Amino acid sequence: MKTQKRLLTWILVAVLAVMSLALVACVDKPQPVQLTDLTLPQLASNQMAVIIKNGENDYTCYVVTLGKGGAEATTAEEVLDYLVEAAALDLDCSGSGSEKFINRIGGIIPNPNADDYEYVEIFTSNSAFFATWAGANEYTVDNVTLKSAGVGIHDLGVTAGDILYFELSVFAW
Amino acid sequence: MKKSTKYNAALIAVSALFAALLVGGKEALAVLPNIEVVTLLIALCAYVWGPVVVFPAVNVFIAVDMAIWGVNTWIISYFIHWNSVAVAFWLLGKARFRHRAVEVVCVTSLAVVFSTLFGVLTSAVDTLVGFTGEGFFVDFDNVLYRFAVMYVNGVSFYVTQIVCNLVLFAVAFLPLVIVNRKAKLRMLPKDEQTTTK
Repeated sequence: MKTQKRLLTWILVAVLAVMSLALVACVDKPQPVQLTDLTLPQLASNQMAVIIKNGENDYTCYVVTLGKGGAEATTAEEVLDYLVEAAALDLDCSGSGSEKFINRIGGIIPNPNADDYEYVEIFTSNSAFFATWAGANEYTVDNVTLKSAGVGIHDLGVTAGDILYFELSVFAW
Repeated sequence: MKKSTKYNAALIAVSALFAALLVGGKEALAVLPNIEVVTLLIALCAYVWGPVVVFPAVNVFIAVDMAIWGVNTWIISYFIHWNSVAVAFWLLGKARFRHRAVEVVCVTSLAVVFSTLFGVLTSAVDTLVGFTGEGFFVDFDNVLYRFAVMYVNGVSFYVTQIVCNLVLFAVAFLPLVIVNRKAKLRMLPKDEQTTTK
């Protein structure tokens, strides 16, 4: 009887272990893809992309699954926090809430000693968050408009199909 | 009649004082979004001291802010808005009110109107005009839609400013006018007390 109980216990533990492994295996771990040009990846219906321009002809692209098994994220801030955990994205921010400011992301490191003010500019394909000021920067890539975001990462909403793009920009006084 | 040197010096001093108050007041309250005393101070200066004092003070304030914050589209908004506030309150200051309550209502209403217009003006300028290191440029692309979105996004800030000025003007404007008028009587030689308005 004792032996039977012991056996049953071990079988249960083994089953639970296999189930946990299966669950972990199903969790999305976005792998960065290096690109030499700004091109958009193919996305599934529950995916979005984060592209970082590290330098000339040097882009890193992350495809992020939104929802269960991936990033439970509704804002750019949450997506980036997820990528820090799941894909070892190098990210340094200051401030919090709507004041949150990206100091460094991936290979983008603004030079604080530059003559002109360097900063990380955020672009989005989600028109609800397009900047409204005159002359906001924009790109058209594969028939998709990426425009400078009008809000910071805390307030920048993301949904499936969105592209977030980051590049080093310069504000000349 | 030619004004004395003492008279002119007094006006320059008052103008400088108001310019300093404007800069200091703005920076002191900078941490509180859209809580400001600039409208009150410019209105007060224009109402009591007139154009000779208020316009230099306003434009020195704008110049100092430019030195602190750099050049951008906000300069256009500031130049138009604050000078307009000065003109409006200078003209209102020429009126004679029978009842103090009526005067309070008039100055407060004008302040609320201008506070409302500030949001409209800054949204319009920022959607229409841009600035790079090479200068200003105009962007007409989708301007009405962008203006509407920008204005709506900023409504909470504009409402804060409107409410702030509603309270400030209703409570503090006339008492400050009285103080300034007394100061003006003391500072300016009596025989040269032709209206500086």
